[in-house]
Amino acid sequence: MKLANPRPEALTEFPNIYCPGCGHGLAHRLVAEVIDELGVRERTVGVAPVGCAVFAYDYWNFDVTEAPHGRTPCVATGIKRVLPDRVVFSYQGDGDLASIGMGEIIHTANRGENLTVVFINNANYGMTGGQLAPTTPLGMKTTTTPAGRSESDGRPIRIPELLNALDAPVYLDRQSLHDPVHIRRAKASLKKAFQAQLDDKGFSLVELLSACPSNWAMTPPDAMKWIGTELVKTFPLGIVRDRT
Amino acid sequence: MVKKVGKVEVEFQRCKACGLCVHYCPQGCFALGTELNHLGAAPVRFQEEPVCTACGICAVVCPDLALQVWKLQDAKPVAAKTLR
Amino acid sequence: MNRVLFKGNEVITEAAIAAGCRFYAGYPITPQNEITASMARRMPESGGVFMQAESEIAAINLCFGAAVAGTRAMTSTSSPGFSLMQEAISFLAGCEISCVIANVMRGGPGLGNIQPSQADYFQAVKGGGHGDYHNLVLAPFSVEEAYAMTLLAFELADRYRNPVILLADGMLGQLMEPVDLELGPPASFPTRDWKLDGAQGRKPRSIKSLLMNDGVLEKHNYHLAAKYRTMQKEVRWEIDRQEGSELLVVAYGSSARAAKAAVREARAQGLKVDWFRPRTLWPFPSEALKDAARRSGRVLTVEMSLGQMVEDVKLAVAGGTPVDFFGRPGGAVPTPAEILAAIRQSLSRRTTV
Repeated sequence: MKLANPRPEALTEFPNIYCPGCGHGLAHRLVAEVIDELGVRERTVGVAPVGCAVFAYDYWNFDVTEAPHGRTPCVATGIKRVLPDRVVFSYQGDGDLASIGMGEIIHTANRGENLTVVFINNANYGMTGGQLAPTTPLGMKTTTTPAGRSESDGRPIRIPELLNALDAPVYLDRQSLHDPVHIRRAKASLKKAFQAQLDDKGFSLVELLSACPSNWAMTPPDAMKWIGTELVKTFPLGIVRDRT
Repeated sequence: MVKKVGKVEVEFQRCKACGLCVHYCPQGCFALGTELNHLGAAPVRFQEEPVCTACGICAVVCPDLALQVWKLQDAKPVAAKTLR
Repeated sequence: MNRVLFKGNEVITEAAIAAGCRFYAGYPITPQNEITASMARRMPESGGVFMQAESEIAAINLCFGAAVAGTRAMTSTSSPGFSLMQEAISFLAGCEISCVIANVMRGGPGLGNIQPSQADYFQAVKGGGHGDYHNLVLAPFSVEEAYAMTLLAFELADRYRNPVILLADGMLGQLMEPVDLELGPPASFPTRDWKLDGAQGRKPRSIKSLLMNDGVLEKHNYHLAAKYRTMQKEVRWEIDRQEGSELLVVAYGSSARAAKAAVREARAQGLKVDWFRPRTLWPFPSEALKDAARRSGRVLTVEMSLGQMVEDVKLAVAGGTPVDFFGRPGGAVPTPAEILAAIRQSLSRRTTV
């Protein structure tokens, strides 16, 4: 008898507090699997966001620091600049990266910092109870757009495409965590992004469409389906830039 | 008599009954249970009757690492055929 | 003896390098741009990292990262930029991270002007950021003291795992004065047993200030309070006293220089005046000040503001001595002549009261 899915070493035993069906559980595991496969757990330093994943340091079995909201890429850059041989990544949600942290992510990408950024897009602000995010699709109801997102709230922002306007980034991809095939593809993309850092290639960002069943008011399987049929219309999957 | 290839153990206290394994298992090996764990969720139950092929899809979609997928033997799954 | 003529801003860079600072991030803002520019040259020369950040917010958070990774890190700014850094400073204090922040104060509020001021006292000493915390605040009044205090700032930041504010003003930043560069390197740079440099051969660590479980944050705050009590012994001040003093003039930074000249002139005219200069603003030299105030019988506080440190002076004397105030806000610098007039006015109040 053989265990086909041993627990990644880069994950702690601690059960996560995410809602049932939340994509964070998947994303954390994928990052951990990639780090184990690349054999870099002992030289990895992660930077956790402010958002549901603020407690990521409880779930990952490597050094992780908190950061003020949105400044996650700055903290990651500070670490990487003084410890260039460590594997440093930031893990951020819609608010942390695309709203309050928009300035920081653009400049970090623009400087071509040799970092990996994992961007979890679940189309709302999860931790604070489901408000409008820069990534909320038009028409979607949130607690701050009770009538649905309208043009006056701005249209949703596509981050890899936005960063694609800069010269420096080397790898910009969007994948999804909504079914087994896409979860496997997401892992492959994360591995490329981390490998790019190991090869000193420069800045990489992988956006992952992720379910938020609680705030979307859907069952987890329905939330997954909704990503695959609806959310991908606003956020098309696939490579935006690959210069690795 | 079908040789059993795979088996899944559900970690009762970790499962949040999100239902993703129920939804994605190609063989339909899971069903939501009725007994509550300490989270207040009714964890899934792995059913012996549909044949588990240890494909691992349930483990891929489980956000909580609540499933342990065991390969019972090195035999290929019953449905596999070698293509020429 | 190695006396070199230095500009205040640039001597801060020199001292930081001497202290082993190997990470600087800053955003240009007058009147401290010479710090950023000199760091751009000196940091890479010294094997460190220089970054011009996209904002003051980015600058302080870059320092957060470098400090977490175990490096002595510093940023510098002036008043409006200091406002932007407050959230990160609160985080530095809450996470107990060593970092040095230089604020070369200018006129405010708002965009203000680029002239010297001392109107960020409240911000540096009383918080500025949210939550119960304290910065160690050092206030140099000469270019040479700016050098020594920058060295000290790094030492204290590591000794206490705390942010340290080097509170200067636009005049000090621009002044050129001789500095004895043989002031010596600081004491050893302790290994940070809390740094995050990869969990090789050890258990993973985390850095956080979010403490949600019942009672944990309260306990952490009491821990910080106990630390702040131990920091009281870092208090520093300077006093110039004479027998029969009838007035104690209290000032820090550039105000103290003008006040010193005024006191000298006052004494030359036969007036009995003492001079007290806090060198740390937090911890504040309350005991020494109360003592000196009692001996003089009246206090005149001089600041380049509408009156901020004067509140701590009043707290220190606890009603036991009358406290007068003279100040000029909005980037204006009091002259010794103006302060002398204020001294005379305070002394005249003594005879009528």
